[in-house]
Amino acid sequence: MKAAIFGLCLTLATAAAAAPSTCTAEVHATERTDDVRDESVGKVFAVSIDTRESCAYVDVDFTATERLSDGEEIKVRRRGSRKVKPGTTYKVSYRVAPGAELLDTEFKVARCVPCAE
Amino acid sequence: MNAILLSLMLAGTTWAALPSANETQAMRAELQKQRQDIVAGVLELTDDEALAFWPAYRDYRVEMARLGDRAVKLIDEFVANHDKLSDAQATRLVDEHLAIQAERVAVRQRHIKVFRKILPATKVARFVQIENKLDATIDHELAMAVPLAMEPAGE
Repeated sequence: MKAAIFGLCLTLATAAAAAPSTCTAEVHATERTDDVRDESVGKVFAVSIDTRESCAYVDVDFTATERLSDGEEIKVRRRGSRKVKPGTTYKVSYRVAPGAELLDTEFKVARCVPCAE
Repeated sequence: MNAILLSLMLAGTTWAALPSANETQAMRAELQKQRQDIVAGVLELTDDEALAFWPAYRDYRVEMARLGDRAVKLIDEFVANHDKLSDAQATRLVDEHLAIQAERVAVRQRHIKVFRKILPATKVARFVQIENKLDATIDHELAMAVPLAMEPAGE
């Protein structure tokens, strides 16, 4: 019985030690000039990540809602993962489907984990 | 979900007169608007599945929408001429109808291969089922509104 309790405590302690700590980060996106090609429009965003961590791994979800030519409204979420430091900015391009209308876009931090020391 | 599907199935407009091009487009848009919500309700995807599936679904639906546009154009031409169809026109319209049907199957077969890399086979099967039900609902509404072909008067 004692051995079982000891084993359980050990398992919980190991799990707590293994669980990665999280951090907070905010994402800001600014629309840039469209990248227009023959059949489709590419939306370009300058994305910046605000975090107090000197180094963190951040997952950012980009959700785009498009209306297709037949009226169907499709919401698609894509995830980008990056190693960031304060003030990190990067470019995100999204190609709108030919004949579709882009209704809405949203950037959201899905996960922030500090880099291991 | 069933309530959404039922309301979608009942939402079709009944026309006293033949539909115009705009009415055909509007009916299709009304039925398509909730399509992704219905598919999502049926598939019950995990977060990882959703991240992989919806971009692939979007690419698939873009191709199907193009074929749908061709079908609407065909119906509009047919409705405008159904009471004065020449043999050549009737043949061309039927051939275009069959070409659209064949391309729908080809597009579906091509994309199913992608979906099978993302989802378990049972979820792919469920996806095909709900696609068939939604398409059948739309086809039924269109069929109700489209008249039968007639020869030109005096022949």
